[in-house]
Amino acid sequence: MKNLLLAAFISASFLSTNAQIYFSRTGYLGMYSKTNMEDIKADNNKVSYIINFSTNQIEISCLQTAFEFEKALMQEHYNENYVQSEKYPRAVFKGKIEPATPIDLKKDGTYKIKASGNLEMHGVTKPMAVDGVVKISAGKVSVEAKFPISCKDFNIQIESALKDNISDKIDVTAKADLAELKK
Amino acid sequence: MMKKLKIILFSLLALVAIATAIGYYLWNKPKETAEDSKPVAALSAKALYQEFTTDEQKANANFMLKVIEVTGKVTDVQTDTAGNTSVVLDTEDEMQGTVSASFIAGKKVNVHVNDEIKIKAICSGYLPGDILGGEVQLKECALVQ
Repeated sequence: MKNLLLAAFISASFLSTNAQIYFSRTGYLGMYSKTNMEDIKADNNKVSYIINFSTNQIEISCLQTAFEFEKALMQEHYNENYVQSEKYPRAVFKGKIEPATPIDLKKDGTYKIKASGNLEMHGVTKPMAVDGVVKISAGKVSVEAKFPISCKDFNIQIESALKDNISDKIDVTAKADLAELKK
Repeated sequence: MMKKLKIILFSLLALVAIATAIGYYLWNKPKETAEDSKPVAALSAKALYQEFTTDEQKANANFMLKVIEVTGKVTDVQTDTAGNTSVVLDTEDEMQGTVSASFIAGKKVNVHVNDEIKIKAICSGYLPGDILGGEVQLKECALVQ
């Protein structure tokens, strides 16, 4: 019951009156590591995105175990050795978007945004600011961003034997088609 | 002396060959699919959701990245960004928590809202959500019935 009240309170603070909340539970996050030895790619198509266009709050979260790699062994190493998925199951970004120009959800267009907030992953929380776009096309709202993250920043240790195969800089692609949340 | 050297040399070569073969197998070993694995547990979507919301650490230890069999009523059929089908199973949770199961990539699935289904899947874990409700995610799903 206490949890229920707490969740209701948090929801209420996010859901201000006439809130324009858009979401996806099947959004995408991709990771790409490029080195001279090897290119490694992982995709997650079960990412949760929530943007409240009334308050400009944004939240993106996903399960680390939902990233799919080309090779089973890569996936095992990622979950067991690098991000320790059982101990730190999620990656969560919470922050605010700043549109370069005001976003009119009823008007088609591409709006540049900057999302600033904290990314929590592998037990480390780090402030981040990334550039992206919100696209509105025929009434459909989508969001997209590309940005790098550093493994070192999140205390993810790559053993020296694999330093030539795995880059410290991981290029992340985020995109999602959003639907309006109707309460 | 020469004979001994030959034996050592051949043994070393055999060891290198075995190590290479093991390395090659491990590097290329196929991903586990739920379809051909024996489930470690069989439970309802409601019970699975409760396991994660009651004690997530314990549920992670019991189910994360393991094959489980789950039964439940379909409340939604979705297509993810890669075009793969996933279904949402009812958990009767008062905060709209769900169990979401993604089918094997590219597989056509004949499932409809209100169907009672039984699936085998790999459990990815639990994604809490204050606004959308929590979600237990299952992947590599195969329909049992």
